[in-house]
Amino acid sequence: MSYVYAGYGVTFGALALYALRVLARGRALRRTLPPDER
Amino acid sequence: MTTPRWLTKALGLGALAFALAAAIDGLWVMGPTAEQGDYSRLLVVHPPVATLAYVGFGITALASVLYLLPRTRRREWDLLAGASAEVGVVFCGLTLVTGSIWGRPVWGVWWTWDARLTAEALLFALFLGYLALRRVPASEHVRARRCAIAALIACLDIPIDHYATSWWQTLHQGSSIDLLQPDKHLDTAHNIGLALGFVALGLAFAWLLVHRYRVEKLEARYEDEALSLALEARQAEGRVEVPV
Repeated sequence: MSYVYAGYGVTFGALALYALRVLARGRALRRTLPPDER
Repeated sequence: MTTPRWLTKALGLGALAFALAAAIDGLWVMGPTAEQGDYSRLLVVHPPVATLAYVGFGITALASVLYLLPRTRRREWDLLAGASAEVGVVFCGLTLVTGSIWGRPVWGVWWTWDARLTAEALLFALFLGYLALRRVPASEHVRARRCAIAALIACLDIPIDHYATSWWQTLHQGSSIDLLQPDKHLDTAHNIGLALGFVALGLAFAWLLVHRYRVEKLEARYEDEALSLALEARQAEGRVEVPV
């Protein structure tokens, strides 16, 4: 079962990390906008 | 092209709920099969990520065509193409990794250069190249046009990848389900697991695409403003102060 757990872990783990990265990039870029447009 | 906040929140929460349901079903509820034992549980993740990689690259191709046609040309199509390609690359990478994890216990090897695996690796490399091309400095239109052409060329590999198991003899199995062939089907438990995987990862894909597109728009705006500031600074350097 270790291969099965690894498959699920890699899929959901990688997607969660990528989602966090996208959110962090969005937040960093929004900080460059004027306060009324954020 | 904007999406309301409540919709993206619903997509995110739906993705989390279905991911939990898919993981519980795949790991503990769904039984092993006679042919592959417990490894058949990887059916919940591997086919959905592979299909969604195609969807991501398909959206990139469609947006690229819409950008290339003068009547429908809008900068938003180029931004959508870039966002979708990046999400597609993530899913394509996961297809290679989960396929390798499945292949090791079933085939006895992590990797083999059979037609399906090679075409998938080529697709991954082509779209990595596409993402690199998007970072090459050029004017907005030149960059968008050359990236659109590159995306369409890269997409030629999608049908080769998909039909590789029919066109050549491969270690990779053919499709598990074929609606045109009634004898090619899964049992109910595996169908439910596969459906849950498709819904969970499909919602995750949609959520990622919406957020990545917003980031792409912000990056484009940041680039435009940085360019205007640089131009203003350059013009100011050139101005000669005349003493009164």
